[in-house]
Amino acid sequence: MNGRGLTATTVAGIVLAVWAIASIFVGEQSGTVALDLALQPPGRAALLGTDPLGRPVGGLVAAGARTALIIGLCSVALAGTFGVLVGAVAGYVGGRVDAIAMRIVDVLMAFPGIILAIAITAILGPSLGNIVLALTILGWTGFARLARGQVLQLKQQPYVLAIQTQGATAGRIVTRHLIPNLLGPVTVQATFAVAGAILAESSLSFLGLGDPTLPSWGGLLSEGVRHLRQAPWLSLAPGAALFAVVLSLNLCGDALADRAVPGHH
Amino acid sequence: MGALIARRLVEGTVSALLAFVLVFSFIRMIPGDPVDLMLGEQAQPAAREALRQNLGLDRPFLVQLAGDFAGLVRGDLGQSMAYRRPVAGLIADRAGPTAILAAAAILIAIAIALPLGLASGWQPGSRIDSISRIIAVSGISLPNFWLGPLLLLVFAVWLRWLPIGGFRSPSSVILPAITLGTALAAMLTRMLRSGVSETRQAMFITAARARGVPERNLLLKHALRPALIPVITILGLQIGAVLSGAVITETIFQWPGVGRLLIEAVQGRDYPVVQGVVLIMTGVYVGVNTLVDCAYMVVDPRIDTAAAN
Repeated sequence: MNGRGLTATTVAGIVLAVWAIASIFVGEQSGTVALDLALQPPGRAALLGTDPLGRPVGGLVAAGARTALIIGLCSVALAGTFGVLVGAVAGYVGGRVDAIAMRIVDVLMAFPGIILAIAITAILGPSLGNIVLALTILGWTGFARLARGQVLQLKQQPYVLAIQTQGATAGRIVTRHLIPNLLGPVTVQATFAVAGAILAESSLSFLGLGDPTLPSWGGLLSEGVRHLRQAPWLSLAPGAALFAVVLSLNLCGDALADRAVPGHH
Repeated sequence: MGALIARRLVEGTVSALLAFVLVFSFIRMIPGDPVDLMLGEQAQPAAREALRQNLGLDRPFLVQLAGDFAGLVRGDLGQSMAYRRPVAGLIADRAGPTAILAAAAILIAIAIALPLGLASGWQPGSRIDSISRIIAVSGISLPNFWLGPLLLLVFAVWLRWLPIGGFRSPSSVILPAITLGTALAAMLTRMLRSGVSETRQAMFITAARARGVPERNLLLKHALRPALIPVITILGLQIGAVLSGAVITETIFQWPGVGRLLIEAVQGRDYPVVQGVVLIMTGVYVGVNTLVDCAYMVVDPRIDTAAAN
């Protein structure tokens, strides 16, 4: 699994990098509307066909990769940082702080799946910033629970007791001695979370709640459903791209989990 | 055990209530004046005032909260602006199709996961195990809004075996149910596999084998039952994924359920309906999980002692 996971990671990395770089070059071209070229099947004019506005699907998929990457990485970076901090502090301090923090986590986790993100973007309006915000609100709770659980175990360790008797402050213990020790499981969680965030972003755009100014795989797929009979190629490339990226990230997460979390199956 | 169950019930209720306050606050957090957003800037002053009163926006926040809560207790979720009907009635009309879709998806998921999970967990490392592992990780990564259109393309557009959308005949449910059930099937297969591969090595299995119990009975009668307990919990947690997956599946297949109602309401800025659907879905999710946890405590008494220690 490790070898395969590593391969998957490399493939995902290369594919995303190529798309992100390619999108810079085709960016201008893919934005050009050419109605006379609308819904052309794959051919010499456009390798993957064109969309209802005559733009090449290949360029749109490339530009969609950039959107997915930006939203996936930003929201997980924010959610991970905030969640780990809250969880680590709650676990270390305990008592009322812990109870309140975990109650908030419970309430946010009471919303099924992406329903909370749908509600937030519906209320705040669909824009890049609001989608990242919605996915962060959705995602930090998982990191907080994970960090809290790990810290509850770690704080019983002799090394933590030793630092405590030397008079280290709580802030120093949490940031210098506890958080570095839970980066392994957090990395595993973050890998799955990026896959989840990319899926969630695409789901929102598919439902018409994405940033209308940004090309997105989900938006392309919803266009594809609308023109399923006349233009099946609209549905193929963006879905395949999304599937490949999410699958690679999940395989990579599995491989990391086998390595970083003993006893994980 | 009674005390634990009571505690779990209280916890579930508190979560649901706090979620209600959160959803309630959302609609008041709309940037700018929600009335402007819903009616547009050019609306007549009289219409704006009527809507303001309908939504209760002319009263203080806590009074609004108390009013909405009293309404919720009576089963009143407010009035839809687009349909000019009570939200509760709208949701009730759409609940049936969503329940049918969810039930069909769960059945399909179990029908796929049970044989795959059992076979691969009983023989880890075998060919069937590798195949089921590939199916499971692909199924988890396969976005339902890609699987759905692909199924439509093959079975409705090209082969013309099944209808393309809507809910007219029993066969309409097949493609949406597969779309919604695939990820769940993948998840359940993984859980079953790890459960069965663990109990396979348990002493009571070795003991039963020594007594001459045939392999088939070992698997189906002795190993399956303990492996099913975590599956029930996962099924409870996955109700959340099924509900939010239903939103997407219903949009693809124009299925007349609660999920599509939510998306139509979001697009039409029908905020009372958005609020009502989010509340109901959250309530169902919390309710199912609380019940699953309680059932779990009844089925497996070890959890009681573990929690007590």
